[in-house]
Amino acid sequence: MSNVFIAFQVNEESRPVVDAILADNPNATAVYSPGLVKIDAPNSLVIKRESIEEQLGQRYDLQQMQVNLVTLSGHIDEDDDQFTLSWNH
Amino acid sequence: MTVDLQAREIQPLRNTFSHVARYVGDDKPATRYQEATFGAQATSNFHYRPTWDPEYELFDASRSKVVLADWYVLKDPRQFYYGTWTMARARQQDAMESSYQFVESRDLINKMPDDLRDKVCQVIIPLRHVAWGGNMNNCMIAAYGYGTAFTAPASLHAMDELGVAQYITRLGLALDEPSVLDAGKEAWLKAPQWQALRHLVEDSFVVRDPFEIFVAQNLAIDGLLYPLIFGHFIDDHVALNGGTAVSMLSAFMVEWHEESNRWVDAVVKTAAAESEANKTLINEWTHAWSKRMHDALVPIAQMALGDKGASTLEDVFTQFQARCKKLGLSA
Amino acid sequence: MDTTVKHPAMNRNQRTQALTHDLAWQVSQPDAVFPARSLEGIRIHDWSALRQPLQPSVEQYWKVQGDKDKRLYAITDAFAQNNGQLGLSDARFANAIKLLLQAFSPIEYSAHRACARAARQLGLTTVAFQAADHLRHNQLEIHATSHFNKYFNGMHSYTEWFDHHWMLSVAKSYADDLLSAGPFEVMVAMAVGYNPVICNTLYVSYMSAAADNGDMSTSSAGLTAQSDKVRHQAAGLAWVEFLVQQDPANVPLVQAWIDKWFWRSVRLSSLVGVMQDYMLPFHSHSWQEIWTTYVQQPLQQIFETWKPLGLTLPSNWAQACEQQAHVSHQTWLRLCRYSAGLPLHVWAPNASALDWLSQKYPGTFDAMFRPHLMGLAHQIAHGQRPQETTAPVLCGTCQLPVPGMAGSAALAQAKNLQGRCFCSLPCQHIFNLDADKHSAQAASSAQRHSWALPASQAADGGLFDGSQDEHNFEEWNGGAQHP
Repeated sequence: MSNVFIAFQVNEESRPVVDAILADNPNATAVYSPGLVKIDAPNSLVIKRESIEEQLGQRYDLQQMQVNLVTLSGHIDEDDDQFTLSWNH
Repeated sequence: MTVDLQAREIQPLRNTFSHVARYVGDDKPATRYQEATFGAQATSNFHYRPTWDPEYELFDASRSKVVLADWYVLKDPRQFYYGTWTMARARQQDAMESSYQFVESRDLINKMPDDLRDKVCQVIIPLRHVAWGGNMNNCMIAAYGYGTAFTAPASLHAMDELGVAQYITRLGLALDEPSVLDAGKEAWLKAPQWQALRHLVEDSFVVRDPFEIFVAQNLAIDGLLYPLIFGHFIDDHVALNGGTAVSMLSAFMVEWHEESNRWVDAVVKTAAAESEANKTLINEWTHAWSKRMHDALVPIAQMALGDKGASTLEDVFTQFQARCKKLGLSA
Repeated sequence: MDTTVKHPAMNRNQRTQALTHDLAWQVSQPDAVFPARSLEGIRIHDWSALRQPLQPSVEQYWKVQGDKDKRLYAITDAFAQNNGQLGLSDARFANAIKLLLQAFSPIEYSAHRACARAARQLGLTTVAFQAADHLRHNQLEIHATSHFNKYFNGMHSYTEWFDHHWMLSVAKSYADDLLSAGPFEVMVAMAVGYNPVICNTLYVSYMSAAADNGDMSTSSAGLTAQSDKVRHQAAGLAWVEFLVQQDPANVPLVQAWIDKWFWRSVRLSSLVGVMQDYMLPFHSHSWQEIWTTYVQQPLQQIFETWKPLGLTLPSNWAQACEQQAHVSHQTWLRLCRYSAGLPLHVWAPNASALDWLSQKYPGTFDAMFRPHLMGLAHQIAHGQRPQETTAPVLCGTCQLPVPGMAGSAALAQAKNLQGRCFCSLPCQHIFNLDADKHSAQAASSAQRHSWALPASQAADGGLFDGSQDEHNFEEWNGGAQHP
C-alpha cells in the first residue's frame, strides 16, 4: 500500500482547504477524530491554491495552510500555486 | 459542556513551579516570561559530555570569562518569550508589507534618481552578509551561552538578524534586477571598501566566548553600523534626496535596533556591574571591537556620505561612547 | 497579503536561495569558523544541493507563527479563566499532562539548544528556524501546563525530577545524547528518530485524544507545535537524502545514526505508549494502532524510496515493531510496581478499561497482562500491595529499567558492571559503538539510583486512589464520583 496522507486541525480556516483537496482528488478519503481530520489518498495528492480560493471566496497564500497543518506523509513538491504529496521521487 | 463564565471559588495549591518560585516567590502567579525563563535549562547530572567539546559540560558557564553568581540576572527588559516576540514581529511585518504595497503601487522606486538608487544598492546590499553574520553570532550565543535568560533572547535575536538580511535582500530586488545581489556579494568579497568589515565579521566567527560575541556583535558591530547606515545614510541623506521610499522599506531595521538595544544594554550593564573583573573584561572587549568597527566603517561612510562621511562617523562613535558610559563602561 | 517576494525573474527556489544560502560566503578560514563540520567524517561537496521543503522566509514565518500564537494563547487564557481543569474527563488524566511536562518539555528545550548549535556549527540559517521552533514548543508546554500546576500535584518540580528521578532518566539520556552529538548526527536524529517516532505519535494522536478528555489547553498547544514539526520532518527527510547523495562515504555513517536514533526514540516512546493506552479515561486509538498508522507505515514508505540511495530500514526494525503489542502494558505494570516513589499517580484500570485493552490487543493482552492488572486491583483493594522502594537498574544506553533487575542485590551487581547492563541487544550495540561516551552515563544512573522523592513531595506520588488530586477534583466538581 502506498498511501500519502495529510492531516489538519479541524476549524473554520482549514475547512476550505479540506474541501478543495477532496474536490481535486476524487480518490481521497477524509477521516475525522476529535480536533483532527486525516486525508488519505493512494499514491499522490495535490492541493491547488486556486481551488482553495474558490472555496474560500478570497485570495489565499499556500503558506497559510501551515497554521493548521498537523502531519503528512509523502514526498513534497511545492510552488506558489500548488502543493503535491507523492511517493514518486 | 456548559461554559460557566462565573469563576468558581477554587483555591489553587500553588502559584507557580518550584524553580520559578525560588526566583519570584510563590505569593502570586508568575508571568509567562518568568515561567518560560527561570530554570528551563538543566544544570546538573548530565549524562554525557559534548563530543564536539569534551573539556566542557553540555551547558557550562565556564565557557565565558565573565563570571556571574547566577546567569539569570541577565533578564530581558522587554520580557519577550517566543509568543510575545513572534506576535510583535508579525505586527511589524504587517506594517512593512503595507509599506511595500504603498511604495509599489505608487511606483516610488522608479521616481528615485538613478544615481541615488545605485548608491543605495552599493551601500546597503553587501550588508545582507553582515546581517547573516549577526545570525551566526547570535546562534553561537544561543548554542554555547549559559542560562535561558541569556540564551533564549539570543536565539530570537538570531532570527531577527536573518529577518534584516532578508529585508535587505527584498529591498535590493525592489530597487533593481536580481543580479544586483550578485554584484553586492562580489563587492563584499572583493571591493576594497568592504574588506576591513568582512575580515572583522570573519574574525568574530572564531571567538569562543559567548559573552565576548555578545559584546562584539550586538553592542559594537550593530551599535555603530545601524546609526551610521540606517540612521544617517538612509533616514537623513537618502530620504532628503528623493529616496523616502527606501526609508520606508528600511523602517523595520531602525525600530528593531532601538527596541533590541534595551535588551543589549541591560545585559551589558548588569554583567559589568557585578564585579570589577567583569567590568574590566567587558571594557576591553568593547574598546577593541568598537575601535576595529569604527576603522572598518571609514571607507563605507565615505562611500555613503562622501565628504560628510568622516565627521558623521565621528558623531556616531561619540554617541556610542556616551551610550557605553551609561552602561557603566569607561569611554 | 502578499508576503512572498515575487520577482518575475525569480522562481520560488531562486527566491529561497537568495534569502538563505546566498547570504553566506566562502570565509577565508572555514576550518576555524566551522570546526565541527569535519568532526564526524561526513563529506559535503556542494551545500547548495540541500533542499529544504516548506522553508518559509522570516517574514512568512513571523506572520504565520504570530497567527498561531495569537490563537493559542487566547485558548490558554480562556481555559484558565473558565477553570477548564474542572472539565477533564477524570483527574487521572492529569497524570498524562504530568508525564508530558516532566519528560517531553525538557526534551524540547534540549532540541532548541542542540539545533542552535547545529545551525552555528554548520552555518545553516534554516536550522536556526528549528531552534526557535523548539524554544516555542518548550514554552507552549510550560504555559499550557502552568494552569494545571496550580491545581494538581506532580508538576511543580518537573525540572528537578527530570534531572534526578530514575523514571525520567530515559528522557534526559535521550536529550543529553542529542546535546552531546555532532551537528550532522543531531539533524539525522531529529529526522529519523524524534520527529517520525515521538512527534508523530505524541503531538498528533495523543493530543487529539487529550482534547476529547477535556484538555483543550495542552492539546491545542501540542497540535500547534506539530504544525512546526511538519516543516522539520520535511526538511529532515531532505537532509538525510542530501547527506547520502553528497558522498558514498556518508552512507554507512548515516545508516548507523538511523539505527541508533530510531531505536532510542522507540524506547523513549514507551512513555507515550502508557499515555495513550492507560492515561486516557475516554479512549481513542490504541498505542499499537497509532504506531502502525503514524510510524510504521510512513517509515516503511520512506525507506522504500531510500533503497536506491543505499539506505535500509533500521537494523532493529522488526524487533521494534514486534514490541508495540506489549510495551505499553509492560511499562504501566512497572510504574504501578514502583508507585510510591514516582512523581505522578498510577492506578489499576477499571473493568471497562480492561475490556477496551482486550479488544485492542486481541489475545496477547488477556493472556499476558490482564491477570497481572486484575491481581493489582485486588491487592490495592485489600491493602496488600508490595511496595518497591529501591530504584531499578537502568539500561546502560536507553536508561529504561532492565527487566528482571530490581532490588538492592541487582543494584550491587549493576555497580560492578559499570553501566554495562542492557535492556536489549540494540541498546548494547549502541553502547559498543561508542563505549567511552556511554560509560560516562553510569555516574548519572548511580546518582538516580540513590535519589528518592523527598518526603515533602510524597503527595506527588503513590496511587491515584486516596490522593490529594482525587480528593480535590471531586470537591471542585461538587463531590461528584468518577468511574
